[in-house]
Amino acid sequence: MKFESQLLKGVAPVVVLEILSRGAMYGYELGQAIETRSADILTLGKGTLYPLLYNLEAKKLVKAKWETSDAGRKRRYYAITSKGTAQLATQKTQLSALTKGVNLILGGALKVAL
Amino acid sequence: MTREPQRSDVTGLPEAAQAFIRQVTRKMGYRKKARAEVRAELVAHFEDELRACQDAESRERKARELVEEFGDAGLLAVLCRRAKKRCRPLWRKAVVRGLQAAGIIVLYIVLCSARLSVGTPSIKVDYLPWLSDRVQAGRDPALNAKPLIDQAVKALAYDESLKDALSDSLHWPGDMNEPQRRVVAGLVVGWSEAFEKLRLSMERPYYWVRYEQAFQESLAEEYDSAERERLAAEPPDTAWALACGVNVFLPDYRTAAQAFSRSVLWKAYQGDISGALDDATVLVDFGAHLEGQGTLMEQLVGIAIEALANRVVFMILDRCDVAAADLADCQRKLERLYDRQASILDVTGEKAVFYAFIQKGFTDDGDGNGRVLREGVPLVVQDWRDGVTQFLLFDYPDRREVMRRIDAFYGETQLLLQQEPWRAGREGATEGLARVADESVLLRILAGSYERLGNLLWRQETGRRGLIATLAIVRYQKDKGACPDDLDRLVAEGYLSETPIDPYSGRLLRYRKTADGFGLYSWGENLTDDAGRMGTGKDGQPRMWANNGDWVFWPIPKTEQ
Repeated sequence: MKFESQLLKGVAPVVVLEILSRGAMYGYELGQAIETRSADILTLGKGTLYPLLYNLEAKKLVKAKWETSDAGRKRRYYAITSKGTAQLATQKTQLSALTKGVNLILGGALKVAL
Repeated sequence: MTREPQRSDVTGLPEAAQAFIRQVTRKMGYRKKARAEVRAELVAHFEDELRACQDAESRERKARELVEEFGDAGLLAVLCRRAKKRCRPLWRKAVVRGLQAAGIIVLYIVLCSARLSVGTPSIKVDYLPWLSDRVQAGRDPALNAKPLIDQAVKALAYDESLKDALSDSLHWPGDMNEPQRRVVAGLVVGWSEAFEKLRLSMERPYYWVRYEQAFQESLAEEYDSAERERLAAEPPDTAWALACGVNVFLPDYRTAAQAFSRSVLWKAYQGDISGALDDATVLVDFGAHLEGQGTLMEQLVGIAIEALANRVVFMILDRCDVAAADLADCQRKLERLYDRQASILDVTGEKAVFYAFIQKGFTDDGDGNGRVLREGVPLVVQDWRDGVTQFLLFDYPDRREVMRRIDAFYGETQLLLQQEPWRAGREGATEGLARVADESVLLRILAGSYERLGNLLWRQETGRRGLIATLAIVRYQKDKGACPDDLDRLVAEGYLSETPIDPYSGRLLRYRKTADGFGLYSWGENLTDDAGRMGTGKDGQPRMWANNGDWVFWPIPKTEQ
């Protein structure tokens, strides 16, 4: 599903941090994981993924390290930091409240329309 | 932790992917290391995406799709660059910002300096002939004493023996030992012709120098022809040219005056007191000719020569029994000489140096808008803090403003020089000068010198008044057999045309009758009556013109004899 970029903008970092909280990944792997775990609902544009990772790295929410994968290839692995974990917890709470609020409004609107 | 990525090779990827990655890394335009990292990561990404493709065609197709998905390479490059920049550690950011700021400052300074260097002054006036013309004032060259003075000085046959003989301070020949007296006697014989030439030169009422010619003479003396040609190619610095010009003859003038002073004393010692006093007035006249015009250096030498001549007269009065007629003659000649002179010190020459400085230090008032150039900066800077601000804002006064300042400064200087010290001390005459001088660091330095110049001028004037009064008192004493009760008596009896006012007290020079004669003194630079106690030098000995006591004209202290 294709989302408005502005709609996805605030959610994308939370999604990336959430995926990385379960284990370090490299760029391609992370893109795949987002699609798989969101049942193909969320797709992070490839042109957005790497700048996003670099921004998170700049904010010290993730850290990167070049490592050799099982297949013998050099890959840049991203892992969440303690600062990233704390940030993720905060943002998840906020996102949950936001979703709840949006659902209440959208649910009410639907009832009126019906 | 990020490690250095290995050099990633794009050549294994399809053409479309290669082109895309190259484009992104090129457009990033950031540090090499950051670009290599992005490049390696993109290569890895493409490799992962293309792993499933079996043949070249499908790899190529998939690569094109991926490039499509990545979107605009330029946009990706910009986003990556921004994000990578944010990844820099704080110290690196600080260093980069610091270097950027330093670069901007350096660039700004270069721009400001360039502004000071760009532009051409327009040299319209040659201040050497300008000053020469001012001093000559259109007079007939036959009235100029200088050529004859030069002849007199040349006739002295200046050599090292003369230098040695004059290195000692002024002594009465009677106080010398026999060998010393023989040396002086031998020299004085050879100087008589020169002195007659000096006497002849003093019949001409004026003195002036063609400074441009004197400068050329100095060049001929100091430099070879190649160097002279090089120097002639551009207009000389006026201050330097004037200094070079007067340096050709002024040191010889001083030496000549010292030699002549010995010859006058020798004549008096030999008993020709009338002739000696007459010669002394010629020497005073020599000094006075150099005063009140031209360069400051000439005027200072003139003041020194006159002061030397005055000392000679005092020494003769102290050591010889001078006839009343000779005293009257000497007094009359000196009074006439002093009356003839408009001023002892004049700063027009100094002003000319500044005008020349402004001319070279600013662009023309027309197209250049009178903007300051590098050479003119000392004229417009008040102090270092102000200098930095002016430099950074390029907020300098223009040529017209600086001309106004210089005129105001020299106007105040002239006022200061005219102000009697006792009045100047009370009325704060130096405040006006200090206020104007505060506008430029150069003027501030000069203001202090000009204040000292004022002291020198009034010291000279006080010396003159003291000498005339002493001559009149001694003459009265000769005529009447006793000293006058007060100075007013001298005026009443026609020995003085007016009572001598002390410039340092605003009152009459202090006079008192004593058991063995009389005492006469000025309050001196400390503007205080120290009851005739003479000021002392660093060695604790009484010294004339010291600023810590009175200036005693009579009786002459032993050390002054």
